Amino acid sequence: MKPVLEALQLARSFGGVRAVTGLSFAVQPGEILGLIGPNGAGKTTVVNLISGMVKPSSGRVLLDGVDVTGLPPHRLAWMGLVRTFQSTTVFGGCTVLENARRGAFRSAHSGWLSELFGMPKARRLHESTDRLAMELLDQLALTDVADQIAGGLPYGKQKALGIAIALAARPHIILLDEPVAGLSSEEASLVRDMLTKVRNAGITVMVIDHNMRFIAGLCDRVVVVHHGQELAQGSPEVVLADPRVVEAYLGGSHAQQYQGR
Amino acid sequence: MTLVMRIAGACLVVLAAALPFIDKDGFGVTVGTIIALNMIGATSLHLIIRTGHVSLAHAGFMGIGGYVATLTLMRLGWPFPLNLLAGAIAPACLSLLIGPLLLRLQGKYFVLVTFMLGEILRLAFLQWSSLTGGANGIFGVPAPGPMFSSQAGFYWLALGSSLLCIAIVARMLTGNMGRIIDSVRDSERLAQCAGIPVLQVKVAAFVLATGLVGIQGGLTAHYLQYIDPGAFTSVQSLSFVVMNVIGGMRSLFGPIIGATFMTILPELLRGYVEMQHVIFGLILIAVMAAMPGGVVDAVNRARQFLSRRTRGGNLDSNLARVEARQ
Repeated sequence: MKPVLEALQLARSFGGVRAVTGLSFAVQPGEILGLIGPNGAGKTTVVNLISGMVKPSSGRVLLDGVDVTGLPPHRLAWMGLVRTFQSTTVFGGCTVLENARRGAFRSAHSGWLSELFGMPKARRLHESTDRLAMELLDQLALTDVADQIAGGLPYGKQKALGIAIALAARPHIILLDEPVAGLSSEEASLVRDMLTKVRNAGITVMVIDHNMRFIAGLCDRVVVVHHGQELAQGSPEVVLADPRVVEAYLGGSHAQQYQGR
Repeated sequence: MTLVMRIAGACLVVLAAALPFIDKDGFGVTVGTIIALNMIGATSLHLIIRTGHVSLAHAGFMGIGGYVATLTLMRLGWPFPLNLLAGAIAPACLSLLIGPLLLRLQGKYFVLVTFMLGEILRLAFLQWSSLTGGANGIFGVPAPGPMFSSQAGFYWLALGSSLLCIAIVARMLTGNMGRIIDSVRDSERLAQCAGIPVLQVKVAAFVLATGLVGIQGGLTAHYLQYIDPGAFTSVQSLSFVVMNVIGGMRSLFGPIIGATFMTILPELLRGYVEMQHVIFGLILIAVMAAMPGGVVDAVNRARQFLSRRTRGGNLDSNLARVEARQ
């Protein structure tokens, strides 16, 4: 099967710091891929490279087999790749429902001219946007707070809303940057269930996190990054038992203790 | 917008249009003309502010419009509406050129650089004397045709242009266009990831706004029958910003109220010649302190306060609206 997303020898340095050095991986359609690694491994840089927020120093990104290296994020969104953010996940100043509507820009957009003159086509699309927004809020258990200001929501709800905004763009692949960072384990398992539903709806998912339990319970396949390079790749059980991965996470001496047990 | 507001708005427009019949000595019409002209600048700047940028070059762009409209009329002999159009297109072209560079700057850096741009433009008007007449300016700008040469006629022209400008800005700030602009202001990153071409949207708003304020420049030159660099200083730019702040930066009603307030207040203080500027300053400070979100925000707060007990949240009405459409 042709991969949805493919990174080929991606590299990026910031001044003298080589954040990512020659990373390659592929995301297959309909799977949930986890990208994990210890703090400072270059995970967020990888997301920024793929989503067009940062241009790679070298290497290529293919989306559905098309070279999209260096395209700006809004172009990628139109091509079906949407990401979420670790922080500032929502438009803080408006209601939850309005947040979801804003995320649906791509499906609500009827062309700049028809927008400007308020053509019937534009009006019809706006109505379907409202429907889509309400549906998504319903799926992510946000209907009861639809009328509240997003900035005042509890952190877990904001994270869920961040996912709703991304889904509103109707992507076929969604990239999540630390969706459960700062969440309790109950909230994290809610997010896990949501993402499983998203995948079951036919959307390919790529998750970045360092919460091992979350990743192990969610992903079909895991890529481990360390010092900007691939350390291991495979199913969660195999990868997480890999001594090199344990060492990267815990450091050499602790890893020996861990293995001794 | 509710029906009550629409009716109130229509009444205000009719009242404004009837001003020359009500006001016999003509002073009200003079003030009305200046208010209408200032509304063009204030509402067009409002469009830029809503994309998240406070520009201090707005008077400079107004100056370009003024000089281009004047020169195309007096040197090239272009007829009246055509020279005004040229005065709108010229600043729009300049901002199309420099907008993509300027609008990459954030917050205070954008403010500083536009301030400098405004100064550069002012100096250009001052120094390019072969074209602009330097500090003396250009005298004898003819009235725009026989129809608008009377005081009332020009008032209606200014009012019409102002309403057209407000309508254009209102169109940009409502519906899906408004949602796009609000998204860009609230979070560029999220807006980008939803597929919005952030920089292009900002440039489009900037180009449109500077084009509109160019019309104010052209009309002002016609009205005063005179144009000089003194009208396009950073003080004028700042005054447009203050109009937005006083009225409220979150709603288009803000700059409309602000332009009216900022034009009428100095006229009311004309009686106290020596203290005029001091009193003006004190009133501005008092208004800002009492209404940090502007007049519109203060009115909204008052309304919320009054209706808190009578109305609950309107989630149900939202849901009902969506269901009714399905």
